Amino acid sequence: MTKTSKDNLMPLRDILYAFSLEERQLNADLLDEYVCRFKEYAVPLTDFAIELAIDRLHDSCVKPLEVIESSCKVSPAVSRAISRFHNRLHQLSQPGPNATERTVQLTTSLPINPFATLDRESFRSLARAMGVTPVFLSKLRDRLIEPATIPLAFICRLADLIHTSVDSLKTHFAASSQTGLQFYKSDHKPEAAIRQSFSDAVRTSGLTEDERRNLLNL
Amino acid sequence: MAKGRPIPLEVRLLMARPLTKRRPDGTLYVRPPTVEKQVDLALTLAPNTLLERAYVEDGSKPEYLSCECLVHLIREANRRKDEDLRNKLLTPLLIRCERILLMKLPDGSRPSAAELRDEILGQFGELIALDGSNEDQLALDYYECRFNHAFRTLRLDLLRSERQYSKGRIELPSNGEEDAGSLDDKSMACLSRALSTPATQEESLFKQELSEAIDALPTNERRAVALHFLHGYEVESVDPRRATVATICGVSGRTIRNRLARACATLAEVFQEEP
Repeated sequence: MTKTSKDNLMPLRDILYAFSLEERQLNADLLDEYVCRFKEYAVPLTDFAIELAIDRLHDSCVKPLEVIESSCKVSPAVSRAISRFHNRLHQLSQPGPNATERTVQLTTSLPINPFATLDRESFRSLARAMGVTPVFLSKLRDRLIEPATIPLAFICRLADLIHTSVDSLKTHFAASSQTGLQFYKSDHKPEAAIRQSFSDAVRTSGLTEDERRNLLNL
Repeated sequence: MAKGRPIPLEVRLLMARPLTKRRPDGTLYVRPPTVEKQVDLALTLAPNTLLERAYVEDGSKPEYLSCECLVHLIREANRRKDEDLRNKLLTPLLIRCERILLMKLPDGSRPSAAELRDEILGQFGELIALDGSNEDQLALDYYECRFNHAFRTLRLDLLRSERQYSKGRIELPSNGEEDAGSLDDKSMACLSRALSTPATQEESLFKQELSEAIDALPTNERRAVALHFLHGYEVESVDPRRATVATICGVSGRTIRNRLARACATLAEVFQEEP
């Protein structure tokens, strides 16, 4: 497999699909071939290959899925997925400045919501460490604060505390805000929740006078 | 149809459109013949019939439509601007996807299982929305070829990202690892044999427990076990050009042996429970 100029343009996710759909045996030789060809993706490719190998091992010793005829009932999770489908369709139909800004996570395979794995106690500890209330931190988690208004110093401090990159946090804040449970049938076009500015969020999240002053001075 | 004669338009319109995505070697992806045949037949059916069949989940039934076929039908409805059919076909496809995810990522399998399932389903929905747009990267072509493999790619890639995020918060740096003692050749041989031979019916439960135990290992040990036992990389090599577990992980051969020793000690518990 010789490298071509087109290889330089292949997104990571495409390479992972190609690797996963390979008809050859998934072993060290195949992984080496892909890593050699797509050096810039060596780490995520290797990580993915490890996940794939363990998943296949599991599949080899688990019974096939039992067939349960569907009751046609749409679960909340499916309903949310359908909402995201329509939200994205709606976004695509709007005139926008930059088409690439719309494809946030699909092709770059960045981490999902960096707050998702925090349990309740960790979330509260993080809020204390940041000098904010859990209410304020929830607004950040749920992308209810206008990303352009969040001070860079705040983002850097937060990135440091949750061991992620500034870019990952910026991407998270810039994605569509969480709209909570939403079932398929809707009389309105799906809309993102209204965002507030950083300073408005500071003023309306139950922070003390000192906490507000510290944040607004960033 | 005689060889060399052009296919009539009315027949071409009812045939599945060829895929346009290419492999890294430049060859086109193609649907398996069974999928191709199913799609060609499905394209001749009335929408009501299609919808009824889309909800059949038993693959042994003749009216069953594969996920590959459903993806094609959704894309085709989108191309023809038949939004009603597109939206109605999307639901049974997502229901099947959720069922797969509930089996692969059940509640309790990891702290963020429900959020991960949501994200995977949501990203898949967005992929379908992007199809045919200026930002479309033809990813759905993969899903028309081998749906389960493609959907697995989406799932594992998000899982990989989530592990990477969690790793920095939990794991000690590698230079802080303690010596785990010598690597037990007997344990290594046992593990190697267990992982390389297909499971018999009796061994199925044991191997399932073993795979789950490997999955639950600390990240460094999990990587070492997967690279050495599942991919077949040597722990280390005198040839500096050769990729080994040590070079891939960026540590010494000794560190890898320590990690494997700790992993084997943990996994030995599964072996001891084997009937």
